Amino acid sequence: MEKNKPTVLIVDDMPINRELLIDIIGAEYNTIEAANGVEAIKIIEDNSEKIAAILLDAMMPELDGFGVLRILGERGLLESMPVIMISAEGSPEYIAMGYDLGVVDYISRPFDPNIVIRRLRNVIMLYAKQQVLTSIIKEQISEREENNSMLIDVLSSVVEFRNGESGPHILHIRRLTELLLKELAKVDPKYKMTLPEISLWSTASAMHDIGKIAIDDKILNKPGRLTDEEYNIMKKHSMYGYEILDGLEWKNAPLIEAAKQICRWHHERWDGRGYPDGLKGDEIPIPAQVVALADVYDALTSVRVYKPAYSHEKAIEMISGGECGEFNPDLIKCLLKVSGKLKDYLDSDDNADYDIIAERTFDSMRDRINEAK
Amino acid sequence: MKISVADAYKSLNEDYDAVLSRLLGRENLVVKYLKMFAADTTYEQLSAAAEEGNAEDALKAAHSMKGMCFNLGLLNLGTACSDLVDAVRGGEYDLDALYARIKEEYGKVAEALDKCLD
Repeated sequence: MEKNKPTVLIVDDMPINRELLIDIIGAEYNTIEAANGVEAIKIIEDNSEKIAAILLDAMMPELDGFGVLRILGERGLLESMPVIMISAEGSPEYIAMGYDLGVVDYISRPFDPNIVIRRLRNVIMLYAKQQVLTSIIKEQISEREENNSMLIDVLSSVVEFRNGESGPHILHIRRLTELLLKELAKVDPKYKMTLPEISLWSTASAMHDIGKIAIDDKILNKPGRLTDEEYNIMKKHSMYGYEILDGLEWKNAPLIEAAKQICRWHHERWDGRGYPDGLKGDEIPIPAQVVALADVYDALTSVRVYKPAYSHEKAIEMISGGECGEFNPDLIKCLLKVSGKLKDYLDSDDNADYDIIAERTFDSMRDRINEAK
Repeated sequence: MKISVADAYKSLNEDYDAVLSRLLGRENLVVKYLKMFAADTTYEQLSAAAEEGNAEDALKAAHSMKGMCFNLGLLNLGTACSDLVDAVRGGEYDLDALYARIKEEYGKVAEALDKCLD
């Protein structure tokens, strides 16, 4: 086999027909022969990466051309492997059946060799181009998604960093939100979301505390307990976050809309005793409920100026025991269900890169502000 | 004394130039396929099926013959095969008569090929 030639599989029960096709296309392609459908399927299974196109006879013993097409279709191979049917069968029903089953072209016998050569060339080019394009687009989309998420995490971490809540907080909230949203759909179909929706909400969750940018340093970083007055100011961060986002030109974009809800309502509680709006039960959007729970869990398991880090077990116990306010019972059910794998899941794959970027961004921002003063 | 392939086609009332141009203008290729055709056993399968009255097998063999004949420009024999295929598919047919016509055309082709091939 010559290396640089594409490979074409020729499937025909008549040796003379195969020989004819090999003579026609052999200069341009490596050829593999199969004498019936069963043989063809076996060869395709073993060489699916290598075969650029198939020339397929319709009538054959064992398994005919249509049978081959059905099997290839079922296995999803027709998307990457163009099939040209060649047959002495000229009746419109047969040709229509071929197209219905996924052939890209149909050539009747007797054929002009140049037509076979040209059509084969076109089909192979078309499929090759399509595959290259598909892979380029996929790559670009995933790169853009990654950049978007990273940017949101970096900016959100800048805010958290000012609060002394560094580390993987943003990543934990994002992961917990994603995990709990997926799990909720298993508890009750009414919570069902599409994967892009889940991805949207978990990306938005990273922004839950951006309103803290508007809270005075002295209150934000006060060692020790806040006075009632200070606590009331601190509580305004959820509304501030909402207002910051609502002032944006893109305030109605899906991601910003999601972030607005999460910012505003991630301190509401199931029994109506949260803030700022005192929403109750189902009035609180599910993603905001999820982020509220995620935020509490991560706060409990992290060090704060006023408390040590509690263990995972202790945090779960405190939340399910109602010590941190009341949550949707379905949500508690989910938390208990995923509890076993939670710790490993949150700490898998290091987030150090985000932290370093956030820290650096924050430092340079502070320097610039100082210079301006 | 052998005759040329072109003369053999002429004696069969077939268009040799059309075949030659379809087969890349290479006479050696035409000869190669004609030899393969002469050695092929599909006709024997067709005969056996027709004599047993097995229309389904006869149809399959005739269908294969038809494809080969059309590519080789043996249109008279190809058409006889094609007629059998269509008639059997249509459901109303006289298998013996259809086969008799193929047998006659095949006889002529076999005789002509015998005269021109080594």
